[in-house]
Amino acid sequence: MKERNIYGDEFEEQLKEKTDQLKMYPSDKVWNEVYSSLHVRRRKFIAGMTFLIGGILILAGTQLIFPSRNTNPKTITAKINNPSKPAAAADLHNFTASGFATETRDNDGDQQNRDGGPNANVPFLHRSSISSGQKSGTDEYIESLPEKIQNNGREKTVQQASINVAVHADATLSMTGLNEEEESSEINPALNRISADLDPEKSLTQLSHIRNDRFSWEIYIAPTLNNHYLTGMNYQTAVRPIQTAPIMVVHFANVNGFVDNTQAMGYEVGGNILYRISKNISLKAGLDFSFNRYYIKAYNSNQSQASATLSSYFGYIADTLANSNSGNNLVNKNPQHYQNRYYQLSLPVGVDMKVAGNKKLQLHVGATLQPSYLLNTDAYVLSEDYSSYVKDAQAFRRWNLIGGAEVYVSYAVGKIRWEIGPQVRYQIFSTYRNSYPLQENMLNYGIRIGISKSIR
Amino acid sequence: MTEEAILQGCLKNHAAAQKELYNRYSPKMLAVCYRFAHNREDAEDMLQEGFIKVFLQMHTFQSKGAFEGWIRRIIVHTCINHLKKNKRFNDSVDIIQASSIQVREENIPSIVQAKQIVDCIRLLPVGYRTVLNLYAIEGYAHKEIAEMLDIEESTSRSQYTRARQMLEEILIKRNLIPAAREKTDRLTAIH
Repeated sequence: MKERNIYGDEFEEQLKEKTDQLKMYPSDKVWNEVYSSLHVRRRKFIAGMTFLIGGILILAGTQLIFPSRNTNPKTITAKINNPSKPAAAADLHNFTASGFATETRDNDGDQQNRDGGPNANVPFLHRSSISSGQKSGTDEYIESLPEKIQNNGREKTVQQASINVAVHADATLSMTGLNEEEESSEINPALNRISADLDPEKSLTQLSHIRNDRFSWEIYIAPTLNNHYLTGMNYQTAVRPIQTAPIMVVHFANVNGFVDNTQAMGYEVGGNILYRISKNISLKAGLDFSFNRYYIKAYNSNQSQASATLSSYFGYIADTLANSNSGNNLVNKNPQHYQNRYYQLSLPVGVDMKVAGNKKLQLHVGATLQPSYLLNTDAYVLSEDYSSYVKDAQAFRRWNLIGGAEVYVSYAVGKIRWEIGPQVRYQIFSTYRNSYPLQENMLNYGIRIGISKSIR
Repeated sequence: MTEEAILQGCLKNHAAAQKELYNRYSPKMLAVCYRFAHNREDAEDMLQEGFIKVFLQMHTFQSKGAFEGWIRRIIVHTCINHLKKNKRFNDSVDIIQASSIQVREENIPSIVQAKQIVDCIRLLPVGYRTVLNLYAIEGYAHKEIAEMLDIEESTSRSQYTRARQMLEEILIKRNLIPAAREKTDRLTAIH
């Protein structure tokens, strides 16, 4: 670093000595800014995630608690116009059934019979001028209407759009009462079709096709069984012998032979928003919180200094963690079970595909990639000689990537779909930083139970 | 709290340990920043930025060297980066070329206060001041200074020579060091 003996020069030496004596006390503002920048960022991240989870839960809750709020009478305006008499033959059709109302208006907005005219409360076609005697273009239009509606991807606009029905008026039927409907049926089969197409029950069925909404949400919970796999050689053993290590460690360094860890139960909760890109395939993204853990069997011992060497792949020592060991990994009396707990927030992004089934019962498969953030770093790590467990935050990797896959059966109950099926999640990168000689990869199996619903 | 405990606490992002470390080193480090900065406000900005780096890069500290030295290096680099953002600074270190000047050796009397010396250093143009701080006080070599400031090594040398001469003149003017012997001799000859 130095190209000279810098303090050989008396003047510079004195200058340094004098200037180093100066101490100045910063204002409180400096520490406050330092503190907030170190801790508030994390708080903001947690607050953001909480907000996202809260949003999904509120959305889900709203849809669950008030599922029928959106079932107010829908209005469809159907215009039956005679092209030859576009304004004069204007008729109003107004009916209400099963909470569904269809209203037909003429061009000049004549609604005289709607609220109490002589033909009020007539359920269907109480006054109409309909042509008969030929299959008109109108018929074709009406027949093709459901298909047109179904084929239209923009269903929501269709629900509220006016349906213009043009009817040729070569012959006029005057229907002034309910009984006349039968008469009209006999007279004109075309009218039957019109009636059927405008029938509330049938219309609802058609609209259910229309409302094949692209967005849906799902929430789920999954009890999981957590396994972890330790891999990697202890590079340190190749560089220098570890004095306190059992001879097997020095020669074989197979870490799995020196730990006694057992799997434990954890859980996972989360929610996704799904966007259907085709009939059977949806993209999904959401938020997931997981709690994973496993048991460590260790033996109590006197407190001593244990170290977990962080080595580079090239063998030199980059850093050394030193801490008091909490448990001795070597066989001894008084075995104790410690727990390694990991709390993670993940952002699953992936694909969901319906592979089989009908409207009621479906089989789905899904796969996700999940950038994840480790919320806690107070788990145990194995010391370099495999003899002790130490707690050191420095060894842990905060950001990781998890791959997830699931198969589930979904069953529709009303507007809600219940989902259940197995899932597996694998942590792609090691729990520990690259500089730590061992790699730990978590593998979790679970049964995923969830519900999903279309967003209207 | 021992230094080791502070280190471990900071690694775990414990606020108490961070505060302890800050309290322990911030007065010295603010003085370092003050020598580089235009004013106290700038110095506090540098200190703040520097300490955030210290805490974020804590895991890179290797226990082999002195902790204070490690912090100081981060703070100094932060000061330099802060100054380099200022165009005036870039101009001042590049353009000013010192002529060949005979540098005198003067002793700084022990009675002189640190604050007085620092105030004199702060009177130097920013380019001179930076090179003088880095070379004479922080102990960087001219080659390192050249890399840090993106200047020629020769520029660093000449800047330093000029800076030192100016500083001595300021110290003399303020009666913090005795006048140079040559000067005294010359004055004696005239009289």
